[in-house]
Amino acid sequence: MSGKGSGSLADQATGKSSANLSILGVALGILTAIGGFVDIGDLVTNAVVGSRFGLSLVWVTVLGVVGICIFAQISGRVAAVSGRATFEIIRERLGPRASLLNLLASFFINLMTLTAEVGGVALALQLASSVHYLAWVPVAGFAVWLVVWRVKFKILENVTGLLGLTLIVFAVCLFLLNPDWNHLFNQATRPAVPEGEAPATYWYYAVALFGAAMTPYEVFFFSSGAVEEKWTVKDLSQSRLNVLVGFPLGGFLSVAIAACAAVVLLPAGIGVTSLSQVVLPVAEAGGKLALAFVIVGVLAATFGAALETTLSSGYTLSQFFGWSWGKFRRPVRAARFHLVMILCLLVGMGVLATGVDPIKVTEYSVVFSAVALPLTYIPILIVANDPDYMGRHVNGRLLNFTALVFMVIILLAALAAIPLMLLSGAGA
Amino acid sequence: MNRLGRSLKRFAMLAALLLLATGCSSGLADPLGQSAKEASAAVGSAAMVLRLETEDKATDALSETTLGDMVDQSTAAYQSAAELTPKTADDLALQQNILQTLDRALRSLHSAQLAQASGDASAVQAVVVRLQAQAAELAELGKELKP
Amino acid sequence: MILSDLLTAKVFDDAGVRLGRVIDGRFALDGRPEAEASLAQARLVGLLVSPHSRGSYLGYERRDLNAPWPIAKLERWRHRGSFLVLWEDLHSIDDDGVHLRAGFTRHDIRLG
Repeated sequence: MSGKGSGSLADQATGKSSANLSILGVALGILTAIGGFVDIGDLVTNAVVGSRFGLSLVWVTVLGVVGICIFAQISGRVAAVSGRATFEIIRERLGPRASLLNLLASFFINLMTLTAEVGGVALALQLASSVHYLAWVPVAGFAVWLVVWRVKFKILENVTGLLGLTLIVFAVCLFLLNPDWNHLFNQATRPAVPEGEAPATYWYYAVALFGAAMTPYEVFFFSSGAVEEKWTVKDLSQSRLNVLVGFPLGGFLSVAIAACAAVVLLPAGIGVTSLSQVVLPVAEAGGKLALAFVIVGVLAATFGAALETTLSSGYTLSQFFGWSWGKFRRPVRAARFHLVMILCLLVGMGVLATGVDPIKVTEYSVVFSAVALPLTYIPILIVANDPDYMGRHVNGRLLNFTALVFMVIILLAALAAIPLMLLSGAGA
Repeated sequence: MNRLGRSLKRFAMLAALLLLATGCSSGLADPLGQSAKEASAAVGSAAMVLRLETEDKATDALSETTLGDMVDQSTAAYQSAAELTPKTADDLALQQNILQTLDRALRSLHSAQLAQASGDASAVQAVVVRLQAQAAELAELGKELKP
Repeated sequence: MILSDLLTAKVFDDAGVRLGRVIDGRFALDGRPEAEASLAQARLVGLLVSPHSRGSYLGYERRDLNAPWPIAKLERWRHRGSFLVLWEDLHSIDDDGVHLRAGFTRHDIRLG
């Protein structure tokens, strides 16, 4: 909220004070990126991995954060320079048939993520109230719709991002737990498959963690957000800073979540299967106050991600079919865009109403995200090299090289995901 | 002909490997061990959250939610163990043994729910001790059956 | 007729030999503007025919687009032997696909 206030002040301010205020703007952008990085997929996957594999998969989180930094930065630049969001580009570059397949896959996975996030909101509300989460599902779905319908883009992004920052309590609790740092450091730097776990399971969760860090909806949302906020070339340095500082700090939060589980749950032989277990280490370290913080954080993170995935469902479909889209238009002017979002929310709520475990939905959604990663990232990489779109803002050689190295990793993860899922019995 | 023979040989080897792999897991030890491990995690979590509540670190809502989740998880573990069909007398005895242990764990979880709802501190403490012991027992069983 | 009707259609020469499939259309923006203030209308110049693949060229038919090079290489290999036929060189279009007239010219596919 304060961000919006200072923004409108900045518009009227003279040169010097607007420079000061833009520092505030930068800080706000970074903080929002940190809080916005973590969603139900990161929360669950990191806690599960920490409770079963300790910190031996931290390298994957690092890899995923570097990857999302590279590609979010590229897609932000593409959106700012060309004024086109990701799916408009995919449609233009892949042609109608290949891009329809791409759309179906991306849309389905986004819908799955949306379902998981709404389920996460409901589970967080159950943690706060002890009322069963199924009773919260309609409330959560309605709240998401209301915010998507009524609240300005900037506000919904900033408020959920800032509230999500309360998840820093995981890092604080890690210190309060006073762990054997040497031991944790060794786990992280000398990764090995722990006793009692199969190698296939280890690699299955490696792929899941990678998918959780690099979830494609972040890119749909990020690039469409750039169009929503009418970014231009001038905003590029700000967006680069948000990504390059905010996402690694968000990744640091992910590691803290895994580490808390590794310190408290792993020695007790408790493999995480529910959200209530995810927050147990926080209660152990910081008591009820820390618990209150973490519940607010989980609620904000999942609610924010529910908003982002809902918007992404509207973005992808509208951009593919060329409907007018965006929250900068009044809903009447983008009727199909809003209708798609309402339908997707209803489908998500319907799926949850069958009683399927939201944590399971989350686990599958991050793995399928990994499968779909190349579908999103290859077209972005191609267009980022196209001078017709990008002018002199095409990718440099070094960036292209790094992005291609990542493309190989992304392809490997995508190809390995389903076989590993079958081999490991979905991580059982 | 020679090429056909070679590929047949390769196929036979693959089939043998597959048979070996499925043969190893046809016993009930593996899935029963999995059930024991899952139940151990559930019972351990229940013990942990109740201990946290007695130390005033966990809220009522967290304990209630966690206990509910853990009853669900243990019930699921019990069901998947009960659905297995033993082929030998040894397997049958093993399954009976695990099911009885799981049944005891479920009963403890239910009394944990009752104790937590009543707010009787001494009852909660007693049940925590019992849950901890059962979690350890189940973990031991799980490790034995599915190393 | 819309372009989608032609995309992926098979292409034959006058002797009935299959040459490949239509992967794209090429347009020139030199038509007469519909109204005074609007842009020039697009005119279909010809069709892109690829012998090996029915997928899109992903924009790599342009001479100046060479990055990232593994993808550029892959696309150029996938569409090796592609050519542009002008609309004038089309004989007929039926359910089998597109038939070219005798003595049609294979134009260079590359743009720019």
